[in-house]
Amino acid sequence: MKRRVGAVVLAVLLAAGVGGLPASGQGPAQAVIAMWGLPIRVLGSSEAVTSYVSLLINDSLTAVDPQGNVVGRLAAQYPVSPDGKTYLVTLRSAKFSDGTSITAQDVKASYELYLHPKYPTTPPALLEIAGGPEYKGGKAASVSGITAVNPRTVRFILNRPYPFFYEQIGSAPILPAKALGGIDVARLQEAPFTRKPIGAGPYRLADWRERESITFDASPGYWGGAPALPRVVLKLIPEDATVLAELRAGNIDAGRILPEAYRSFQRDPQVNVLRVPGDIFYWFAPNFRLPMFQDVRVRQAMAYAINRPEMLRALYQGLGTVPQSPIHPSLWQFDKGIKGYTYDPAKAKQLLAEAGWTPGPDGVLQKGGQRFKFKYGFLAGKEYQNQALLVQQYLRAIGMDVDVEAHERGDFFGRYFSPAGNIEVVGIAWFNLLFPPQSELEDNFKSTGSGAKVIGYSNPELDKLLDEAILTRDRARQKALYSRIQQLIIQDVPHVLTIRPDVIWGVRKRFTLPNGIDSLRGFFGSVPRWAVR
Amino acid sequence: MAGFLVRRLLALVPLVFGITAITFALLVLAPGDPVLFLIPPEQRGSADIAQFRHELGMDRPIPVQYISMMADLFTGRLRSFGDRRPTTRQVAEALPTTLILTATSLALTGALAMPIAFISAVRPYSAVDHAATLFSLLGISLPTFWFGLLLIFFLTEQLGLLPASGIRPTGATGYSPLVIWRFLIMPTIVQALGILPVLVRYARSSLLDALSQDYVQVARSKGLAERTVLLKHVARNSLLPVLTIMALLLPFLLSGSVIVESIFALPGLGRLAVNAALSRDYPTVLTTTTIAGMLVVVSNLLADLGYLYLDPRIRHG
Amino acid sequence: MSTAAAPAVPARSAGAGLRRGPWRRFVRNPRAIAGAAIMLFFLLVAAGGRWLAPFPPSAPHVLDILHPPGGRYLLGTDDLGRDILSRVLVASRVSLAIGVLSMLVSILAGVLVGTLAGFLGGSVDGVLMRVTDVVLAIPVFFLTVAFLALFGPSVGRLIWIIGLTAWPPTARLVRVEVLALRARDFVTAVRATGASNTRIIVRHLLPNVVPVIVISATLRVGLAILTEAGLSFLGLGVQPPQPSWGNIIADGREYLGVAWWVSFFPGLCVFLAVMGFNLVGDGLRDAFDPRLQI
Repeated sequence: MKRRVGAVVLAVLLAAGVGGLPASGQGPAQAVIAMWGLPIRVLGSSEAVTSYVSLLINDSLTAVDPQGNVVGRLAAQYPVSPDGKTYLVTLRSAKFSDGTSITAQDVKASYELYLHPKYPTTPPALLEIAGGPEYKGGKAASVSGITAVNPRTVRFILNRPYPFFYEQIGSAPILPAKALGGIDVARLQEAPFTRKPIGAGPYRLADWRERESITFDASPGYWGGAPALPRVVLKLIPEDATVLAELRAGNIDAGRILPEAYRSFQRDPQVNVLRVPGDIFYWFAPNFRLPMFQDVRVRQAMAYAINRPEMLRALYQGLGTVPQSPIHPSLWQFDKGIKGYTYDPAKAKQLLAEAGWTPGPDGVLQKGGQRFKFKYGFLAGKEYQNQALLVQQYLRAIGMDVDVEAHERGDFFGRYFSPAGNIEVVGIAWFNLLFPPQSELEDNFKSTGSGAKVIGYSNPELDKLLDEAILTRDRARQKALYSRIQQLIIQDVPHVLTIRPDVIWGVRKRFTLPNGIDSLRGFFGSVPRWAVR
Repeated sequence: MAGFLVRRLLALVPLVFGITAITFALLVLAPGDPVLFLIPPEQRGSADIAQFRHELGMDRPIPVQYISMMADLFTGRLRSFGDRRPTTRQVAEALPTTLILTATSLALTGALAMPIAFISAVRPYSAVDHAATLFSLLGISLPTFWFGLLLIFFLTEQLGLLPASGIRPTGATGYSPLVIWRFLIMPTIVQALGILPVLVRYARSSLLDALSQDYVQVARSKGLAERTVLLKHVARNSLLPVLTIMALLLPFLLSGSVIVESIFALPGLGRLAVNAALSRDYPTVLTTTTIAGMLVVVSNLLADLGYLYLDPRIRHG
Repeated sequence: MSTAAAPAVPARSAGAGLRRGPWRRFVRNPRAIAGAAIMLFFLLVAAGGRWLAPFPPSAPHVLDILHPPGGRYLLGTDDLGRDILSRVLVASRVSLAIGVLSMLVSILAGVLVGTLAGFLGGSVDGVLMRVTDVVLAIPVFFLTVAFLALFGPSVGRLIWIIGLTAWPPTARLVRVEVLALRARDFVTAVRATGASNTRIIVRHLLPNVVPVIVISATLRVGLAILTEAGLSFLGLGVQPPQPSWGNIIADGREYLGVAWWVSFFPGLCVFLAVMGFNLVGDGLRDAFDPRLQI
């Protein structure tokens, strides 16, 4: 996210203006974190900020550690039957923030809420539960695959051996059945619970000031032990410049920093700067229905033509990474050994020549009288546009006649949702941490996926590997399959990956943060483990 | 007087209906599906589009949608597509900023326009008058948003005198007059400059009119000091039309607020309207346009009433 | 969208109903002449900007990001290293084209409504003037913003929406003129010969309204350029990467503190161009009838 350089200057000035305030030393044992937006409600919203708040106040049966292993949270034991279809969860002794104990009924009620026909954002993993799709479709009165065996034990029966169930239910927090009972799911947005949540997480909501701040206090009965910070305040500060000034002045304890301000904050003795790979990475994809893009050498040539480090320098002060694979580096499925494309225009031209494309009199590639000309469409907006213009320049340098065209949002998504959208090449970004990689990979690269359909991409080998990955239960074998999938994607170039800008956080030095924060979600997830120096 | 009021109030009805009908027609005719638009990209695979549509009431016939939207709007039950809060609440939060800015802009414009107009009317076609005319011309040629950026450049970036953004939302701690005035200086100057030339021109011709009236000649012939004549007779009598025209400048100020609030990151009605339009938040678009229209209508009404009250000829006639 | 025809419009129509007096007064007014010179300058730049530009307007120079004015880049570069001079030159065409063409739309609509209302009178007049009042009363900018955001901004839509929301003042002026003319002897005389209404309007009324139309048209162009720039600044006008003065100003807004030149020069162009049209319009009014309330 390219933002204002000017803001930096402004920030410095503002900081000078408020410099008289207490700026350093020991503050209270609380952390004030600046937010670019606050959730509207904490249930049934797909906004990223909502999922971050959920990390503070809620807990789930299981979660995934940084190594990709499933760890028990509210689940003390969680064995799987040999056929991979029966999942038996024994709950640990834990309490909600209102002091009541968590029972199997709460699990059932929570999952049935997420599977409710009118619940807007059902986690895909829950649809693997037997009877889940029927309940979601309004054809069943309850979910047959969820049974409260006794107050401490829940049994899930799945439709098929689905190996990622425990991994993915981390996004489905357990809520008190008693509170959920009164919710009209069709009018979920208006339910008081979405603003006065009760959860099983390390913090409980203490105060919610509309468009201003949300305060969380440590939940006394939290099963994992009280967090070191008794209070966390998420404070809404929409303007970047203000965040920088307030962070410098010590009025807030943590905030997101613009790439342009990165260097000046590195010299700030009071602030630690933390760089994590962003959730968003950028790519562009050709439409495989156009004959010229069907030759893999042409696609590889495009991938070699892009100077990614230069893009990062020009657009993000060099703060970011060159994505080597479409999987986020913080996920266990990511293959650390994989190598994407480097900048090699000579190689690109050579590949194009091998494919029969040679420069014509005007310098534009030609083959059998056809000029290499296409339109690169993108979502109107500065980030996409700047990238489009750089990509256009790189592709022009290898002889492609590229026009760039901005599409207004409705038009862009209209086209991008439909195979009839008639795009030639599309430039876009994707979030790849909010979803488990399997569904994202399927959506983009499997011939039945909606994204793959839009660009007309189909690779039977990739389809087969993706099907295999979902039915394999051995972790080592899964890893090998994902490595192969990533290699195949890199080699076949359905998407040309460009850059992944970093997210930069500034945190006052009086806090000690745990190691291994490698994503934005990880940053918020680490808050309960922050300590005051 | 009562009859006049009733007639004016009744005249509001078709106007409000016209504005809401035009806006609603825009919403219905707009290409693209707002529901698709509301689904974030990362939810592409899993979101249930029909469900969304039903939740938003967009699967009903169009006239039903219009009537229920209007009924909901005026009873405060219409909810924004975006944050699902009542649109009336969004407007209630946004309106104070816009109204304060409008008031300060009108005050500043009045304070500047009257002396300028007075001087150039008293000495028409003098150097001062020419300068004022030229200044007006420059003023109406100036892109106000660019002028706003110049102000930010000098007063914020270079001198560090005033903040260019960061005002707290209405109702938040920190939205007290003691705090927000610094945020409003530059927007006020920009807004005032936009309407100043219009007001100067109008006030000047109104003053010239008054100067040519018989009673001025009479007053002069009675041997009153020129100063007394100008202040007591001319200025006072030309103040009325000027005051009323100020109310009529409200549409300009509201239009200006769309841009000014966006430059200075002010949480007002204009910014709410732009953001709603850009994010296809139909209920909020409908509400902001309706409220803006009603503001203009009410200000026209106030202008009429002010005229009625201040001008004895109408009152007694 | 050719702007080549634009310079001819004021000159030719003004020539039609011109007596010696107004023209003399116009050329002797230094402000009007200065305005005409500025106007002509920008119209020439709009016609030839594409060939004058030293670089392609959208070509990034990543090694020269936010380069200050001077050297290879006379007016500096923006955050992608694009040459501001080239962008401003190329942008002048679309910015002026929108100004002139939307002026034509609003003048045509205004003249049509004004003439019909003034000439036919009675209930037609009543209805048309009521509509005019309503359009004047609603904050049209809110509707313009909603329209462009919902339908998607394009140059064509900009021209129509700016034109179709700006006609009421012209309609009022024309109506007043036509009302006055209708009562004059020569119209009665023509009518007595059995001439049709259309013929009376086109051959006898409109030529006499030309001065008012020309003055109004000139001032409309300035307003339309300002409106377009404002909309582009909000992201609802000409869509990047196609440069327009308004969207270059918007581009530079984030870099005000470190690169004032990005926003400054396109803004200066808007200011000067609008001033040119306004000076000419003012000059024309003074030349024809200083008391016209335009």
